[in-house]
Amino acid sequence: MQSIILPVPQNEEERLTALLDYKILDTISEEEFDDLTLLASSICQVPIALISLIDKDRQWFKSKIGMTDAETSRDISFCQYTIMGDSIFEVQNALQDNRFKDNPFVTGQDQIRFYAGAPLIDPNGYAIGSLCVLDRVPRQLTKEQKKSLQTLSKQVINQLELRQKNIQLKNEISSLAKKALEDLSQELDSYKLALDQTSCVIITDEHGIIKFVNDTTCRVTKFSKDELIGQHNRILNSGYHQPEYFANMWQTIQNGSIWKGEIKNKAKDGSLFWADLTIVPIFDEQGKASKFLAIKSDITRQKQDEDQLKQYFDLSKDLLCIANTNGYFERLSPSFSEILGYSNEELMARPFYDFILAEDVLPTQKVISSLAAGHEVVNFEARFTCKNGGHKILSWNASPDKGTGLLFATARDITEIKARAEENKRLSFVARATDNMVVITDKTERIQWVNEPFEKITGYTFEEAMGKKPAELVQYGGTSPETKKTIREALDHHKAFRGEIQNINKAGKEYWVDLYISPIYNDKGDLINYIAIESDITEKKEKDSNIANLLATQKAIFYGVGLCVIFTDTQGVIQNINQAALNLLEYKSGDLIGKATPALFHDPEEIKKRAKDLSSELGIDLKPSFETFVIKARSKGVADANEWTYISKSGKRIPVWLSVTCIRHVNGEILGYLGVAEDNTLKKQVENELIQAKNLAEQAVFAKDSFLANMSHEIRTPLNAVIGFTELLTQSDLSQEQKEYVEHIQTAGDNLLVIINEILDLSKIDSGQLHIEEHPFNVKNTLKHVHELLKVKAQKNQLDFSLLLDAEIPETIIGDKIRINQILMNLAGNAIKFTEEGEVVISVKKTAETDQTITLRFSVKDTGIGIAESKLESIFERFRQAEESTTRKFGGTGLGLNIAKQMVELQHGKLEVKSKLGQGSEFYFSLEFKKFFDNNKELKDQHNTLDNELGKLSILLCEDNELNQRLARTVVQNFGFDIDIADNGQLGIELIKKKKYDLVLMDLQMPVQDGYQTTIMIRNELKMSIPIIAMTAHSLVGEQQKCFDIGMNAYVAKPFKQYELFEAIQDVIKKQRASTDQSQEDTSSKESLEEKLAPIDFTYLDELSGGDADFKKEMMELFIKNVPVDLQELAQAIQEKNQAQIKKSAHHMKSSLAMFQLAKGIQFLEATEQQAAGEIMDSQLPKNFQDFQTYIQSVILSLKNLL
Amino acid sequence: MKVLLAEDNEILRTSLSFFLKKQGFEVSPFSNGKEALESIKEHSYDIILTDINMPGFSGLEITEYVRNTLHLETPVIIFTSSTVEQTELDSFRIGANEFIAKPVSPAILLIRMNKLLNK
Repeated sequence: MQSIILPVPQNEEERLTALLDYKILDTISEEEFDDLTLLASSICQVPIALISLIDKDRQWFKSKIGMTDAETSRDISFCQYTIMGDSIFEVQNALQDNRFKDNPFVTGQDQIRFYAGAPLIDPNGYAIGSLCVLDRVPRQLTKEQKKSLQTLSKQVINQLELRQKNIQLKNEISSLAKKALEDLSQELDSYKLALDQTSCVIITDEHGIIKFVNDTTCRVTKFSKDELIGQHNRILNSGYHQPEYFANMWQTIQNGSIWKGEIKNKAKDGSLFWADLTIVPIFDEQGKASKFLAIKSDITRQKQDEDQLKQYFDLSKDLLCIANTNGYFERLSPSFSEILGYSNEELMARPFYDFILAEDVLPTQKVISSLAAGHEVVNFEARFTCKNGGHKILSWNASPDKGTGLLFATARDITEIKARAEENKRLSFVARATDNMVVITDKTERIQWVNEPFEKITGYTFEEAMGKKPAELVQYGGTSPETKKTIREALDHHKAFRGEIQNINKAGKEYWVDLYISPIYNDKGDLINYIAIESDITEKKEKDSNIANLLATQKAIFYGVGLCVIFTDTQGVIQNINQAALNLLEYKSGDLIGKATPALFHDPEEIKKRAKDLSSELGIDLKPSFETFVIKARSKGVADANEWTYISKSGKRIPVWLSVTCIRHVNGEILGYLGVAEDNTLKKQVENELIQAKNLAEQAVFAKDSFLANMSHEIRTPLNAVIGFTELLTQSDLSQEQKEYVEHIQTAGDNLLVIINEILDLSKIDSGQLHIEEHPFNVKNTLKHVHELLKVKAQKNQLDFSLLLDAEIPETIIGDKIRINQILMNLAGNAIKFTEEGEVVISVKKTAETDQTITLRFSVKDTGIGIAESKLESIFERFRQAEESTTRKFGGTGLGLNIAKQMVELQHGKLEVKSKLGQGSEFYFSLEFKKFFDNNKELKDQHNTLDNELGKLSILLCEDNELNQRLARTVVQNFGFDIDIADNGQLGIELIKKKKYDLVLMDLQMPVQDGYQTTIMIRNELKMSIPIIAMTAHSLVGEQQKCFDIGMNAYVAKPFKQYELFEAIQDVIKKQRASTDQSQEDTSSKESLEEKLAPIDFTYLDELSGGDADFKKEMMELFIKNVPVDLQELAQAIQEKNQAQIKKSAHHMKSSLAMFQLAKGIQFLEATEQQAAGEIMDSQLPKNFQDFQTYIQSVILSLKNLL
Repeated sequence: MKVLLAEDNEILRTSLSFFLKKQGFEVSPFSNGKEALESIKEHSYDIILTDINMPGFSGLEITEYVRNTLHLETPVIIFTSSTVEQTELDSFRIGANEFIAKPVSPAILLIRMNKLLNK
């Protein structure tokens, strides 16, 4: 295919510019152009008509008929040829035209064969495109058709021109309109700004609900936008206007008219403001007033006032303010911030009460209320805080404005005035009231004024002192020149002086003063006065010297005392130690002070041991440490002294007695500890020797006691049988001869018993166990009995033996019958023994009598061998008789007189003797007895009272010795009682368990289980209170007490006399019955114990548990489980007499008993605890404990029953 | 509210903790002063109730330790059983806030506790 040169117009560039100027390319299709192409296609009778615009590289169709493409490439266009000329370009058959036969429009699916185009030539002659018609068959346009096409093409250009003009016009109009609009809105904005700045603008709907507010509204009303929008405009109503006022307003605006007027509104903080109000109704499309625009302003009037007020406030040097009654400042003059340091914004931001001192707030509130009520306030003072601390006193005058509720106030800062007045007041008060001397002089130091103390102390009156110089009056000659010079220099340089100097008063008495002289200047700084203040310190001076002495004394004691003195801090580090201690310990003070604790020179083993002891004593875990030394001193609050061993530096062991004191500050804080130790080496030696000596002595005593005990036991047991069976023998039928023998046996037995009894008596007397009893007894019968008993003996010796009784002796007196009997038997027995011929006279005389007492003189006189004067002293000594030979001749132990003497002395008498060798002796003594007044009571001779009032008692005897068993069986059966016998305690317990006995006779020494063990078992395990009578040959010191301690009821010494045993039985049974009657319960029987349940009070437990049954049950079970354990502990502690443990156990049990309000038990525990704390051992405790035990037992039974 | 209860009598201890638990307290009971003190060192309690006489440490020793060594202001109520005034004075001197004489009345205990706890 040959190449085709494509046509380009010569003016192509301008042509393209012209095309672009139409701004037609790529626009949407327009009717005006489409009409033209339609016309062209119908005129030319072709299917295709186009308005093609030739751009640089393309032809673009503004309008097209019969073509779908919007544009084609320029190089294949037919139109490029058209625009080369100014007439119709026609291709009748493209297949025959070389330029087009290969054109894609021709060869392609469009199958174009015919083309005719009229160029579109603009008014400037540029061909910008063509109006063309095309067909798929070859054809030729007619002349008319061509002409029409050309006309139409012109029409296209016209349209384009018109279009371009339209656009230009439109642009012009819019830019014009825009400018006008901009101008307008600018103007409006400035109006709006002006309005916003000066007026409140509020838009509401027709119901008055606020829809819009401007910033000024918020500022003026103090509400935020959110708070206002949606609210009814009544939110601003001040309540000032009458309802008619608003009715009128509404009527006006709802009619569509503008309303104008003045209105008083209320802001959020309650403040009120006046505003000029204009309300404009805004109409909707229906012509109804649907919105209201309210504009409130007071520009002119307010602005003027405001400016003036502002100037007035801002320029004022005074404190001016406007406040409201709600407690806010609304406006303040700048002076406030100058005085208080807060900015005015700060002061107005918070209620002014925040700046007032707390104490002044209430008075201020009152004043504000008064102002709110319309009263004026004058000279009201309130203290305002300053920003940098402190406060200012402001004095206020204020007036309220009723209309606005505002307060107009002025204030003055009177802080300094006040302070000065206060100071003056204080000064004058001080000068008058003080005990100090006050002197005021002029500048030449001449006295102008003195106060009363000055007159009193110096002795000079005010008048006397006037005009004099103080130095002339009171200067002491002994004051040192230096002191005088110092004062002089101070005064000459107009400076203050302070010092202690000695003065002398009118009477010549010296006194010390603490002197303060100060010069006084006026406002201009000229010296006008001196003021001197002097306090009398004479006493203090003296005291100071005393204290100095005291300190010196303390120091002297510390260093001089022979004891070791050590101070430590709270941790034990040594703070000071005296020379004595250093000497003893061989340390230097530098080794110890601040470096070591006393543990350095203590025996570490000893500290360990002590720590262990203390741990168990205090129930804590105490480690061996400094605490070991001080723990007790600290808790006791007094010195705690103990033995310790110091180890000196060289290793010497030094026993010391160390007393530790806790030093406390007066507030109780522990400052440290003081240890004072005494070297115990010597003392310890002496003590050890003494202990050894004492041990030896005790061993000796023990040996004696045990000898006596053994002897009495060994002898008495068989003797018991001898005497007992002899007694029984006398009651049987005997021949005269047999009777005589039996009597001999009886006498011998009795004598033997006397000897043993004497020895035992002596042992009792030695240990203080022999007690004088006081019971009513028939003294005459007793004496007759002695006479009767000894008469037989006297008759044998053919002596006159007589008893002389004073007629004035009463029948019955109160005293110890047995001892009187014993003394007289002894004295008369001796008299008969030592008198070979003549007489023995027992005489008793009344020697004195008072209302309550009677004194009797007992005398035993004989005509016997007498006693040498030299021996009179020694006859009362033990194992002594007047002559050694006497023993051989007369027998006897030589103990009798000694015993008699001591027994008389125990009854506060004195046994005396008058005697002449060979002529006889008289032993005599006087005793005072209490009188007996109950004459109704017949005293019975106990020998004859074996009548059985007790009924048939069932008695258990625990006794291992067969002889004694038989003896006791006979005696008891003779009394009319039943008796069962157990060979030892264990068998006894078994019998008790099986059978109900009224009484137990208990031998103490038995195999298997002795009497003590058996008794403890009966009391503690069987919990029985059955009476137990101890029977023993072991009648030694302490024995009897021990029996009572473990709960036995009586004690009979073997060998027993029948009536003694009977008396004992009678006694315990009667007591038992009495107590049973009293308590209405038989505690000796287990069955009755169960019947009788202790009352238990559950109120306390109920209060704690809130009535929870399970909990209550749990507590009861705990009680049943725990209390018997505690009880056992207490029992053991009581038995061991372990006071600390008794106290602890009793205390511990108390809380358990309190749970069930067991008052009776608590009472016992409290008493026991207190006694134990006081280290008191109550002899009644074992007995009371038994009762307690029984009681607890019954409580537990009750609880078990309830479970 | 966490309560430490130191009381060596099991019955009283169990009762009081039962009572206090019912009142809504969280109770840690101890029968021994030493263990109680260890617990005070490790845990924080709102109030301490303690008997005077106990194994380990006494109530007074516990109080003294709490105040002077641990420097705690935890309220302390001491149960006294002696009617000896000195014990009560000692309780206060050492820093206890209240003492209640045994037997402890639950109502009074509750009032005193609440008074101390609401301070």
